[in-house]
Amino acid sequence: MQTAWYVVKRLFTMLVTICVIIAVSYILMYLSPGSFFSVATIASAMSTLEVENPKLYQEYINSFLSRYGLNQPLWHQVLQYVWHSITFNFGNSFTYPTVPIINQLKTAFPISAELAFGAVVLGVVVGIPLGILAALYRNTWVDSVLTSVSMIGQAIPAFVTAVFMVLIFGVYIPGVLPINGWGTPQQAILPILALGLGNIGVVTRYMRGSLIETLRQDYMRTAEAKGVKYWSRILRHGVRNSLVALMTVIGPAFGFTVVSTVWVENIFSIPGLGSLMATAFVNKDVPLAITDVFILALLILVTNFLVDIGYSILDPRVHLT
Amino acid sequence: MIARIAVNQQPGNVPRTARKRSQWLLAWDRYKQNKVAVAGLVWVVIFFIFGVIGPWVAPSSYATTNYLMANHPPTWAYPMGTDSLGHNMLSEMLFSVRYALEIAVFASLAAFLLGTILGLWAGLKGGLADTILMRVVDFFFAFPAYFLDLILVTKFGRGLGPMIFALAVTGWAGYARLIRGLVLGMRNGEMVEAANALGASPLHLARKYVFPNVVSNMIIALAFGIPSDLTVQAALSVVGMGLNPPLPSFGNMIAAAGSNVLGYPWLMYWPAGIFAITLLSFLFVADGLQEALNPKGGS
Amino acid sequence: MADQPLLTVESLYTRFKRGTDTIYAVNGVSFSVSAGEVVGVVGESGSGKSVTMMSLLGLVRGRATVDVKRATFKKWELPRLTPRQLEDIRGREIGVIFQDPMTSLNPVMRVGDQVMEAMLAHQYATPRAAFNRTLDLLREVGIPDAVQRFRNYPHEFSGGMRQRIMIAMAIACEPDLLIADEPTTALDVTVQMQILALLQELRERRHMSIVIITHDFGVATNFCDRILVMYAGRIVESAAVAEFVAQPAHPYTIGLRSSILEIGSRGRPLSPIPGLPPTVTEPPKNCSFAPRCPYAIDRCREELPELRVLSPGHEVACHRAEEVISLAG
Repeated sequence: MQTAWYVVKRLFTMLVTICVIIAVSYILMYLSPGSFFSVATIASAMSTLEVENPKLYQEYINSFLSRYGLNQPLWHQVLQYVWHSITFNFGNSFTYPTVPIINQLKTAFPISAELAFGAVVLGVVVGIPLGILAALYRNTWVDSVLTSVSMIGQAIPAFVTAVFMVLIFGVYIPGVLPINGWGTPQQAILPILALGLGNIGVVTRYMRGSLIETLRQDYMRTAEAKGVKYWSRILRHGVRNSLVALMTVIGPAFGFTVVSTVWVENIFSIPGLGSLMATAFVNKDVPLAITDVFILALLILVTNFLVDIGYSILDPRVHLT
Repeated sequence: MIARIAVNQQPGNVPRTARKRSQWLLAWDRYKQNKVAVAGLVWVVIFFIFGVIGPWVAPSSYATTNYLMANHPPTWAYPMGTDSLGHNMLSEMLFSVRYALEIAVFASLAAFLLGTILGLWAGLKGGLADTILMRVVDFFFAFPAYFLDLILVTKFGRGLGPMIFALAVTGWAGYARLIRGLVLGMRNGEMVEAANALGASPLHLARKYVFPNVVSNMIIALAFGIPSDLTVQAALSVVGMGLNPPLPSFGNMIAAAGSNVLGYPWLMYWPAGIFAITLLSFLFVADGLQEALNPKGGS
Repeated sequence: MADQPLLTVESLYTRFKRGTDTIYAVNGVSFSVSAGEVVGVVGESGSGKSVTMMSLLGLVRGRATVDVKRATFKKWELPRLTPRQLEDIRGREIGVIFQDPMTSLNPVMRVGDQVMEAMLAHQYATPRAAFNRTLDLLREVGIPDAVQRFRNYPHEFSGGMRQRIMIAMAIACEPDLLIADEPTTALDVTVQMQILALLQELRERRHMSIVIITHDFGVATNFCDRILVMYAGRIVESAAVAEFVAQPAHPYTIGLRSSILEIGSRGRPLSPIPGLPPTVTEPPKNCSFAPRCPYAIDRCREELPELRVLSPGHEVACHRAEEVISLAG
């Protein structure tokens, strides 16, 4: 019951947050001199239509004008825009005036979500065992190697890693793995790896630190005094408790993964939300840009929410309020 | 019936200034032990030196083009090759170092100052001011900085000034939250409260009680902040919103090389390699500082 | 009281490496514990009392070296056991409870599971039987609503209740020896008494030996049959409780005893023995207590006093024990 109430409260906070994000984005973009809405941009994107079907063309232009209510006061426009966004009524973009944004999202979103999810899973599945290994063999060469490698993963952003992968698999050993596009499982390998290396690094380091801290705790000695076997001790008492600590720091790292998908998609020419975002910003396509930001920000908020729920499941001391 | 036996007493107090100075010396000793951190520091120092002298030692201006030598692999005259417009990549690189540092350092410092002042104010003042400021901070934490930066550079342009502005705007909230937390969690919190009640000025409070306690944490935060700004600034180029060409930057070089990698790989390995080593060095330094200044805590 | 000894230890030495220093924590300790006997090991923090017991169980932390001539527990020769064999004895034959029940229990595991784990680790009972036995144990140590409480986590209990759970865990496999390392230090005074009463009760019901490690002379004299006083990693006096109260022979013990008497006179600061216990960074060559001892003579500063029999069942490590008795008496 308490948890249900917490979830409701959290979802409400998320809704408010996302509304503010949309509103601020809109206001900032709106205030850009002359860049928000120019009929010329839309017109040039529909020049063929203008010739072939002037009536339909005029209808599109009119729908844009009425949709954004440019003759209305700013606050009215903002509220209207926010309402449109949170009801997923995004309208059409400026660069592709005849295509509803929602259709573009329908193909792009699953791709980005898959990438981010794959990278998070990779980070957890590889990072946790490596972190355990580094903690158990701390201050040995195993630890040094793992710590150094994980620092490299943590320091180097995904777009640089991606660029090196393109260099290696495009120039030095071409033909082993595809370096662009999306669709086949092989095409997913490099982008997920580029994204995942950072996560592996972060998870390994946090896991190492948190397990070392846990192994020092009194209850580990209690387990030893009870005669619990080594691996039971490590897994049931040590790792279980370090995961709790890991959960408290991992949320931002996973949020950052979502941001990183934008970069990696652009390097590997993957038609996800990140590629859409590049199109949107370069063309000053405000509706597409804000919508894209909105969806990705939402994805990050949801990730953090899930991490918090997971944390409360792992740690009985935490009461979600 | 319960008896306790006297336990060790604390050693006597050491004079304050002497303790402080030796504290920094101890930290430096600890830092020196960490070979990786020292190596990182060496590279960072070199990077800064080139950031300062780069534009003078560069063989040509970043804008100088030589179409006859376009897309040429590295030679003695062009040690890092040339790009599609015949720019000397060595010059591009040296100017990039300058601009990268100019943006990251000034943006971080501005964010740091703004965040510190606001965080101190909120932490010491409390009440409504604190509540409002923390709501604003929450907003900045919820809005992914990279996206807000994209919107800000779209609005304010992609020159050096707007870049610094955008990064500072998205960066201050972290410092503010950190210092506010430190102020609230300070061991001598009661002392601050008492001084507050006696009408001491916030400036006096900050100097006398807060800074000595938080300065090492703030240095660590700044050390992590600069490489993060370097990253974001370069990442803006990835979606085509980086520093306005023809101004060179690591992001622009890396993004431009992506499309030419098959024919002209030197356009990629030089900028990406140096950029990667630089970020790694900054992290080594930040990490080393954390261990040296905060030996007990930290992850 | 002196049945067949359950545990006999001869010449135990434990040293730690800390940086470039070596800490000599335990320096030649010999003692024995009989079946059903309650032995108190008393000393200040750092006197090596805890390390002595943990060394025998292989539970010392850090870079420690343990040397022991002989340590016989029942049919086992403890120093000869492999870590795996020692693991089988810990919790099965020898139970341990620790000082702080808050940090000694795993915070994210149900207390019932933690008690059950002690049995399952040794295949002492099937999971079904272990579950039922856990409920019995929880009732036995005085936890009401055992069925509901089985599913609770440590943070949902009070300090005293947590220590009861620790005790249930330690006695789950019916060990012959229970080592209680400062079991009441972290608890309120009233709760301390309850826990000691519980231990007393369990000991009588199960005919179990208990070694209680404490810095609290009062607890030891109330609760134990025999007391070992440790100072700087050595036993300085060993005697039955009655003897101890009547005629302590080591100046350090006398200091301890007077510190209890002093607590009756309220308001006066407690300063039992002037000076601080030493940190032992080299093997002792003389009496470590000499710098704080009002009776110290040159011999004390030159020659290490060995533990010697003063009267049957009363041993002391002091060159001047006889004179001290007459002077202090």
